[in-house]
Parts: sequence; structure tokens; C-alpha cells
Amino acid sequence: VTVDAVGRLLSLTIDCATADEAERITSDLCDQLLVNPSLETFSVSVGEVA
Amino acid sequence: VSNPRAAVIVFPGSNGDRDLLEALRAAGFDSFPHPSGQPLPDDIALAGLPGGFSYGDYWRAGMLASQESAVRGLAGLVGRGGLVIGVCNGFQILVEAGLLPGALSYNDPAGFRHRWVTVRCTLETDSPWFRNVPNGATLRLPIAHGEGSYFHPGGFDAVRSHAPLLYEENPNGSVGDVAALLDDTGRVLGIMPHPERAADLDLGSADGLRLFAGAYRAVTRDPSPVARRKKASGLQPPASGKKPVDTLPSATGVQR
Repeated sequence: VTVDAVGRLLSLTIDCATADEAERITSDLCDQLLVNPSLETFSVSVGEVA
Repeated sequence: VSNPRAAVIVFPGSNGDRDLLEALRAAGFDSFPHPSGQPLPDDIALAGLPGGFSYGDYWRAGMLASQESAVRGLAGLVGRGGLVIGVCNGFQILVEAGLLPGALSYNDPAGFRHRWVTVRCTLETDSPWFRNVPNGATLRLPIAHGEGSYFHPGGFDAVRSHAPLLYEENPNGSVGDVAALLDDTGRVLGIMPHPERAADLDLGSADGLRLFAGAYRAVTRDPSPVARRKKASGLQPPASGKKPVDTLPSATGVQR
């Protein structure tokens, strides 16, 4: 068995108008703080909270 | 003439701040603790980021600390000619703050390592930190870390010219055996072993003091007190013939 990657899942609740805005805010957070691009990558998925 | 001032930034979770304060003091600095949440004073010649577990190493080691006010002021200090050293967790913070490239990750093989290591200077550099450590010199220093594996996406070739110290026996899987890293100016040093814990022969080695003494020489343009005590301590004399770094602050912290 080989492990190619170890991931972390972070769930955020963002108060904003659209899904696009939520994705932009989350991506900015990853770029600026949550992810070290030398070592890590990230992906964002957006869902609506009722 | 007063001694040059050196701020040791204390984060929640730091545990090496007192050792760093003492080592800087032994080299000739007027060192003092500085809370990480407050802006750096303008009159310092040097800032040190100690070892420890800032903010419990949550998310990534050094990530939360890199957002602190004092850390955000480091670029300005370097721009004014000041010196910065980050030891162990301090090295992780400098990387997370973008002052040094790459990343520090979990040791490979995984696990916390604490023992003495030998590192070799493999760089001919005018860095103030290496005035007393010429190319080819070896230092015996202790390590104590779980996330000290240095990584750069470009591999060792991308950082070779900025890596002044390499492990003789790699303890953590760092690319190219990298134990320390300099920025482009040579004034910012990140180092994974602990020179401040090898700053007195009673501790098992005084090799680490050579780095701090070099910084003192660069800041004051004067022989370090360490050099004067070399006979008693067994330290090697400082390297001669190095050109001074003209942008360094004077002993009073005022730009010349």
C-alpha cells in the first residue's frame, strides 16, 4: 500500500449572496493562509445552507 | 556606547525564548522578550523567533504565528538592514510568513527527533550570520523537532545557493540535507537545529554561539566578546577579510 496524499477537510459557513462569492472567499483564504502552495493543493466545493 | 538591541519574539507556545535571550546576551546583544502581538520596536538591530510550539502547531506549524503583528514587521526590519533568526519553530514561522521559501513538513521517517547532530557549512557567503563560520566548518548542535523536513518544489537545486548548513547525517528527510536557509539578503536565517542550546561549553557545545557572535560583529563592526574569550572557551577565531555589510544598523540601531 502506498499513500500518495493526506488531506484535510475544512467546513466553513460563509454569509454571502452567491455561490460564486462563497467560492472566491474560500479560495482567497486558501491562497493567503490555509494552504502552503510549496507542499499542498486545495479544492473547494460550495453548497447552500438552508 | 550601548549594546545593539535584539528582540526575541515570544509567541503563545514558545519554549526556547529564554535560551535565545541568553545566547544573544552572551554574544553581546541587549536582548529582551517581545510579545508577538505587538509591533516590533524601531530601534532593534535584530529579531529572533524562538523554538517551541506556537499556537500548538495547529493546522500547520508556524502558520498562525506568521500572522502576528511582530512577524508582519520583520520585512520592514530586514529592509532597514536588520537581522532575523528563526530557530526550529521560528524557522517554520519564517517560511509560513513568506520570508523564506519552501515548506517544513513532518519528519521522514515520521517521529519527533531530539539528539545532537553535526552540520557543515557548505557556502561561501557574506551573510552576517556566518562571519564566524567559514565554508567547510562544522557545528555540533542539538535538534528537537517533529516537523523539520525541509521541502522545496524545485528540489535542492532551487535553494542550494541559499542553504549554508547541511546535515552530515540527515535526521528528518530534508531535501538536499538542508538544515538552514538564508534569504536573498543573507540577513534572514532559518535554522532547524538549536544554536542557542549550544551556546556554552557546559551545555555540551558552544558552536552555536559562533552564529550569534557573527551577527554581533556584523552589527557593531567590532570583534565579538566571544572572540576575546576564545582562549577560555575553545572557540575558533572569527574569519578575517570579510567585507562589511554596509546596510547594517550601527550599534545604536541607527542607519549609517
